[in-house]
Amino acid sequence: MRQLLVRIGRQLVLVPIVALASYFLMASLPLTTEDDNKRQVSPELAASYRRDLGIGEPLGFLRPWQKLFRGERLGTSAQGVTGDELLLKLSGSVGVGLVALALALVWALAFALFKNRWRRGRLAVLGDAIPAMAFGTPVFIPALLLAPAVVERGHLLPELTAALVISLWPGVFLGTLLADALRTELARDYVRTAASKGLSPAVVLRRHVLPNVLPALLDAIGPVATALLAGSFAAERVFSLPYFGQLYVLAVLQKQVAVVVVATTVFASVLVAVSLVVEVVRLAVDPRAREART
Amino acid sequence: LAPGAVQLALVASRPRLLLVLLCLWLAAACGPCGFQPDPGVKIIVPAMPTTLDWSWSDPASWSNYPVMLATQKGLTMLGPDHSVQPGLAERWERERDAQGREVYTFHLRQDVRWSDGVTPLSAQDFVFGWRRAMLGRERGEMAEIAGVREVLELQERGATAAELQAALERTGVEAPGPLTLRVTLERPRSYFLSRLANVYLFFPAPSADLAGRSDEEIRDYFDRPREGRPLALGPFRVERWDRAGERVRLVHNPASAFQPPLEPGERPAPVVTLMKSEIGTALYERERVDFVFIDSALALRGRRPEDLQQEPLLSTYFLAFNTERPPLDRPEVRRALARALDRDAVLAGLLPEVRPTNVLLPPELPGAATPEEAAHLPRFDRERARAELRGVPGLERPLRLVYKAGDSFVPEVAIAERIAAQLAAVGLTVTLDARSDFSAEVARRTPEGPRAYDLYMRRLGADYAHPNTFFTLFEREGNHQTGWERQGGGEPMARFERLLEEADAEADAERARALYAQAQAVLVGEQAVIAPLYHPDRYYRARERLRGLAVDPFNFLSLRSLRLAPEAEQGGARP
Repeated sequence: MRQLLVRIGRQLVLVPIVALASYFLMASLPLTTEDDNKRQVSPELAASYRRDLGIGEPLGFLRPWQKLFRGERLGTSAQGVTGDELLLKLSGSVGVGLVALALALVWALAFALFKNRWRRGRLAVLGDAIPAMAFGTPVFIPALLLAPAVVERGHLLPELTAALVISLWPGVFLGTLLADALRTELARDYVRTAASKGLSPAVVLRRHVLPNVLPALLDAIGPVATALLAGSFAAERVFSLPYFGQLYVLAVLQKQVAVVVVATTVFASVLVAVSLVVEVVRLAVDPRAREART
Repeated sequence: LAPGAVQLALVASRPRLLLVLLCLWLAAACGPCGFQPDPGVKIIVPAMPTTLDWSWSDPASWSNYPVMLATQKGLTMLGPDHSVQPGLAERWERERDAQGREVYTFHLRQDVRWSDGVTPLSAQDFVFGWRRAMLGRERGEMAEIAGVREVLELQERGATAAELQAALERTGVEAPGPLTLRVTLERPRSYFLSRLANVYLFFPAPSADLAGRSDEEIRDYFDRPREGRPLALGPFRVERWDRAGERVRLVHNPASAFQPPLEPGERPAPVVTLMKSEIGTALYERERVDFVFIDSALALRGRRPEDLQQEPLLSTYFLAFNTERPPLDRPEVRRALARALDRDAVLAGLLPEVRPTNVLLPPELPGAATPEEAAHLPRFDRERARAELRGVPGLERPLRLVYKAGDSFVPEVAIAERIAAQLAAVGLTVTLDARSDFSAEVARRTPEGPRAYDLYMRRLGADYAHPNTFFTLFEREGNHQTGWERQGGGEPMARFERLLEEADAEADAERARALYAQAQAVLVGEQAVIAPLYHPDRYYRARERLRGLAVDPFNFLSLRSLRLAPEAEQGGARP
């Protein structure tokens, strides 16, 4: 249990580190340089920069969060956000991300099973070709191909298509890992024993094999969640989804520095939350993890 | 395991899998994630607004105009012939005071209400809005009002709020009565009434809502629409501005005194969404949006869509000469180059229709030069151009023609190539240089002093329907980058500015027109600083069911007359 708490603590400490790093990075930007046109910003932006970041104030780094919790706006009137708006946008992105994660797991399982099946057949080449295609194709290419068919259609079609598009690469990545783990597990004695006792192949797979490959899958969920979130930035733009990714990108483009600080920290928090969930799931499904930590 | 294990495993786990997916779907569909397509008219715009605060404005104000023009009104408005007509003011008087300043007294319409349907328009709304504009991002635009220069200087000096407030109260904007607005200009300005129709800094602000609020609260009032605010006067008001979604939702304002003119069966559009999209044309083709600009001249080649529409812009595309670099430092050489250009041939086949020209002021503009006056400006005459260029030293040097890189509704690449070919016919070599940093490149100076380019091409669009708007670029302080203020020891520029000053101050329209024509003759004829090429048109596609949805002559989307065709005739965008 202590080890688990240590691991969770390590994850959680990342959030304030990211918050402080992004704050001091933004606070050190020479945004108000008057003699360089390219760096010059509007008086409103400069005012919001000083006001929102609490520049020169003790504990100024807490200022963006203080404003958010008070329900005040961060950034300028035209391009800034409030805490409510941020949560609203985040919930949209998390919704898309969760669907994408579920889809990625489906693709992973399907790909792993099919790769094992194709291992000795004529289709074995697909086991290598599909990852090569998935890894070599940037997210925005399938997004641009599908966008005209779904944008402004409503009924969550843009959201679901975005989730589909951003789930492909992580799905195949997870599937590749899963296929290797599956091949190792399927060759073990306990599988033959279970089959010889009369259990059906599906039951053997579900009850005995999959629980043993889950830890390998869980190890990869962290990087995959990062890829999903990063992919969602491109997908949200192409599919005109008004969520967190769009908000983040526009905040950077429009130099809304306090929004960038908060959004970066929220981004890190989401990744930490994913890691925590993975730890909890691991604890629930992997007896070895429980034993190691007691 | 048998090969069938894969399918069996999937079948066995399907109910649970489906349940999980269903839960995720429902989670995504709830509340904020349940993004549904907006109902109503959808319009693709090239850029989102940078602010909705029309008094404060922004240097990138062009992107704000579609919303401002749909939701607000000026004291005047333009008629179909671009002449000044009454707007929020039903009439006005124009007179000179004892100090020679020009005083306008506007009498406001009595039937105008803000969009809450209760608050009447008052002269104080103009005083409040204009005083804010004098402190805003584009305060220089207000400089012609008496006393504003003092306000600008005080701001430059970092004066206190009390000093600024006192100076603001001394400016020439007063409300002697609830429906009477008096405006004093520093000097007579014949274009002032035209500016009132278009330039949104001169629109009123709802002072009853805004009085007593802090600056930040006022900015939030405009930029964060909610609960029927900000109030509007035009046929629409802003209901929502989704910055991340890059869309502005406008709803019909039934309290507006400026409703679109409805034919039998027609009705106002209840909801209009302005949106930005990277795939606007594809969405239009699939009938998901109702209006899209044609932003690429290349898209107009080949078969043209049946719903293609065009608007002749009050705009001129021209070739400018660097008057500081030999051989273009000689006016006779520049005139010869202007004569060497066959505008018809330069533009032939590039666009569905073209309006080639040798004049700066478009003929549709009130106060434009007459055909006889235009005939005196350099026109295509290749033989004469050859003769004038014969023996001129320095012509063997290749001339560098700079133009903007990237897609545009002006076919710039083709025009540049054809200009190079036509100038080659009179013995000149022209090299082409498409620049993404066009403005910086045109302003860049060589170590020797003169600017680095020889020729550049650009489009000049009117900000308001008056000749003055076409000349300000070429004044001494204008951003023309041609160096012509040094030509002839500065005398031609001084004469040009004197003519403009006289024309701007002239109350008689015909005399003012003649003076502007003389100024044009100095710029385009005598000094040949530029060679006008054509007056561009703006092309766009709009659904037939949308009546009155158009682009105005200033290249802004115009929603003021938008209405929906009778139900039976409709067949527009569908989700």
